[in-house]
Amino acid sequence: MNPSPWNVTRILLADMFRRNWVILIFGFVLAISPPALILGALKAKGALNVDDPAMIVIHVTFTQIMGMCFGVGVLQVAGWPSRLFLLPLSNRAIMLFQMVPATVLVIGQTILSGWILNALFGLNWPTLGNALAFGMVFATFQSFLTLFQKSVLMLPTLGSTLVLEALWVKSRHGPIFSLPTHYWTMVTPVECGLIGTVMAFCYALGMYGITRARCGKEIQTGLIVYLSRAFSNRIGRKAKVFRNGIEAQSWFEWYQKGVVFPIIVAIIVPATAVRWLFTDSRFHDLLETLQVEGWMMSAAAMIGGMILGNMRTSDSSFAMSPFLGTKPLATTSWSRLLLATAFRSLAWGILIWLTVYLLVLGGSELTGENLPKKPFVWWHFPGQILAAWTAMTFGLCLSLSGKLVYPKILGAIYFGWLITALFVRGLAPAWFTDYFTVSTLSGCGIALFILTLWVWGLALRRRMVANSQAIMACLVVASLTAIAGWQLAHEAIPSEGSRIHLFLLVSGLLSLVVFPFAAAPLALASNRAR
Amino acid sequence: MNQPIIEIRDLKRCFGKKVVLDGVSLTIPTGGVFGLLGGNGAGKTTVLRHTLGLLAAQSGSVRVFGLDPVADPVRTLGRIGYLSENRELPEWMRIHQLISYSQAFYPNWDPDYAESLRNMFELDPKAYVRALSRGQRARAGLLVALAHRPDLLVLDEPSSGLDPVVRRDILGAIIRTIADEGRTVLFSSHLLDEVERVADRIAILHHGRIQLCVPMDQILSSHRRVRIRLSSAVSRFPTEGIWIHCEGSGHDWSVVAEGEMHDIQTEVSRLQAEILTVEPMNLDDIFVARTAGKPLTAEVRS
Amino acid sequence: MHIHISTRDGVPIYLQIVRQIKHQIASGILAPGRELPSIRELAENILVNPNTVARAYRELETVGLVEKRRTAGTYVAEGPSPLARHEKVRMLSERMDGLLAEASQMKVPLEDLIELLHQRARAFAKKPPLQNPQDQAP
Repeated sequence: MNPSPWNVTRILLADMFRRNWVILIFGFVLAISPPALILGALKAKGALNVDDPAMIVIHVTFTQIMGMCFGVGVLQVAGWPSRLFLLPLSNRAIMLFQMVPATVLVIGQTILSGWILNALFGLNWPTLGNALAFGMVFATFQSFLTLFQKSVLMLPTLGSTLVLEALWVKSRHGPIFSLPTHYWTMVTPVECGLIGTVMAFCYALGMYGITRARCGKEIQTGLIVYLSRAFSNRIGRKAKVFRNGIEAQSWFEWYQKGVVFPIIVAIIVPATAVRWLFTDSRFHDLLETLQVEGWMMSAAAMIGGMILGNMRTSDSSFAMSPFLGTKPLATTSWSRLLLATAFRSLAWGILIWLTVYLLVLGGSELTGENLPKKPFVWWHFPGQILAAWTAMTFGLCLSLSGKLVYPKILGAIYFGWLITALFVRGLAPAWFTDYFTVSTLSGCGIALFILTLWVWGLALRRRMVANSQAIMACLVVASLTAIAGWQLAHEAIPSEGSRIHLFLLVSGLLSLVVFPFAAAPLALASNRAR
Repeated sequence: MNQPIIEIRDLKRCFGKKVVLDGVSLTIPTGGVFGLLGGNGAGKTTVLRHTLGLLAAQSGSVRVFGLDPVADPVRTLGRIGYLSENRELPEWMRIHQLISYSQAFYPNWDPDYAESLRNMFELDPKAYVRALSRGQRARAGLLVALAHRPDLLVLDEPSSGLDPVVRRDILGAIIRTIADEGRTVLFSSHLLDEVERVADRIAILHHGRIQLCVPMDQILSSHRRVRIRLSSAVSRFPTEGIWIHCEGSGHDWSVVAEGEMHDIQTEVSRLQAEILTVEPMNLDDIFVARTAGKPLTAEVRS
Repeated sequence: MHIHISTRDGVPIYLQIVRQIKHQIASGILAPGRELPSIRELAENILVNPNTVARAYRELETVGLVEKRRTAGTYVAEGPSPLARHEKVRMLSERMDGLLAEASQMKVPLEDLIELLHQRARAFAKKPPLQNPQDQAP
């Protein structure tokens, strides 16, 4: 085959899609599922009013979320430009190859998902403006990645550019510092021109970056690198003395992986407050957002747990690395140590969130602003903690097993259910939709319950947990379920029949609270000795 | 002989449909250096990983210090020092962190010895592992594997891809380890020069089976390359009995024989052939003769 | 003490050590009464298994070329070695055997070979002596 740049590019593109189409489809479905589920729920309740001004907020928020979810996948697919440096390609070809497919994919995704949602729920969401804007954002991403590679300067420069772009897009939907007031229906030639100019600028920036990076002249990072080096020198200088392997391994797990979750929380929660400053600065809204984030913390906790359970030291394979595997540490004490680290990680994250929450609450007291009229719901806070614990330890056990097959199975079940649910919502009569939701939810609860039982049985048989621990676990689950049941009996629920199904789901989820105590040693043992 | 340090019985292992170990039985005596030879993909790493409890036996059994390494990692791994093929270490640690981290796991850790090794290997305590060169990384891994004076040192391809200076360090470490009474080294390699220098016993692994397991000083004296002339031309020379490998055609054949000289003479006269020359073989040639071509049949295994 | 190990031509390492020490004793490089390096020292120095060095020393001890003393050390045996002359002859014969084999393969008659040997000896006398020709015996 003729090794012309054009042919090489074609082969690379084909290869990129052949290897990554799963990620792209996964990203697309993941991106579209939250708006589809929420709009579906609204439609099922009959509360979907296309002309409601709140729909504009939903539109802006979800278009952003969808773009980000899919964008992560696209970045993964596009990869670092440096992997192309050794190929017989011109700088221009590399830059185009980095920029064009990513931009086209993101534009296509925004248009396609907007079109699907419009068709499913009869919405009138405009797509072109946001799609082009997302194209611009991704061109920016790619050019900065090319320019700064892994330099520390990337974060501030890319961050500030993205904020500027986001503010501009926001200004298309109404005044910058308030909630969006209208759709961006008309894309004027001036706006197109602006987007085009920014893209061209990004291209030029990326070309400059490639020209430098390809001959090893990466961007000098100056002061920031100096400061970060000085800082990390300080951290690592003191010699630590450990009394035993458990202490050393706790240090390892915490320092390398456990800190990730608190850091995620420490970035996201204050960022919410900053973002809130740009909309309407009412404490009421911020408190509500923080409440929602308390629940969203579970998602971050799941990621934190998956990171914590990752026992590789390098990226060679998914399995536990021999460096760790050959440490003379009993599997059971190791898994206990991991759970303790998970707990520590979670405690720090919750502490950060709670501090911000209390500060905002204090602020609202000081300004004398009217607090939410809804009465304070007592079980939200413990519920959030339990949910985060469950999510984190479940994620921990998933990646601790070192086998890709479990996440794959779970992902397949979730997407299968999601797509079926979307079809049912869109097409089937209302009674069937109810029936479907209720039966799958309660089925899920029962399945989780059985899973927990099975795992405990296995761990008991292999003597990884003691009988007394099993009794403790039973007591914990029983009392939690009893409390949840009592609360559920007093909760206002739309239809009386779904109470029992909801109870089944909740008790299944609650049984997951004790799941990791049995699953973690099993997962670690199977990962360690394959 | 006292109790063997490692005893592997009829170990089988498949990864997916690929059979990697097909009934490996190996007894490694306490004390001395045991070299495990084999080409790339012969299953050396798989055998070593079983002895470390990183792989559970699918069938057959593995005993280290008389214990099952999967069931009892604390009592087996605590007495083993291990340097893996990829010499993977946590990238984010500094050398002094790596040392104090590793020290915590082993009650027998000798801080003075660790410090002298660190000096000898010229490892900067403040350097990050990720910034080390390949040779320095191997030395850091070796330090961590040696400093608790393990009863059993397991080295997986310790010197592949390293420069001669680092290779010397590794060979020196092996020699110092067994110079102390009763300690054992098990290492895999395909660099036969160093195997011949340091091994007391060797085993050749080929196609998931042990082709040969003998003391080092026997292997050279028991293998010979014999050039013979047959009285009648043949198209295939029968590789069976003492003959393990052949090259040639027609009347003239160059064959590798295993056995005493008089066995060879008897066999040659049975074939009605005459011996032209008999040459000693080095380990390289023996290895090639043992592992070249198709898997050898069971009868040929000693 | 300088010992060079080669793993190229199939001579067991212990035998290489034995031969080279014998040669050094026979040629007077190692004087009687001199202490040999300890097993561990020599092993680490030439990077071979200590057991191999120990075996070589045992071999040398049984033929009486070296002796172990109570103060834990190995020494070159005192007095004119009974084996020195015999050993010299043996080593030279070994090399001459190789020469003869090659000559017969090249169909060079013995008389020519002897003549050649005389020629070389005259040339050799004019040149400075070679260094360590002992390294490898075939």
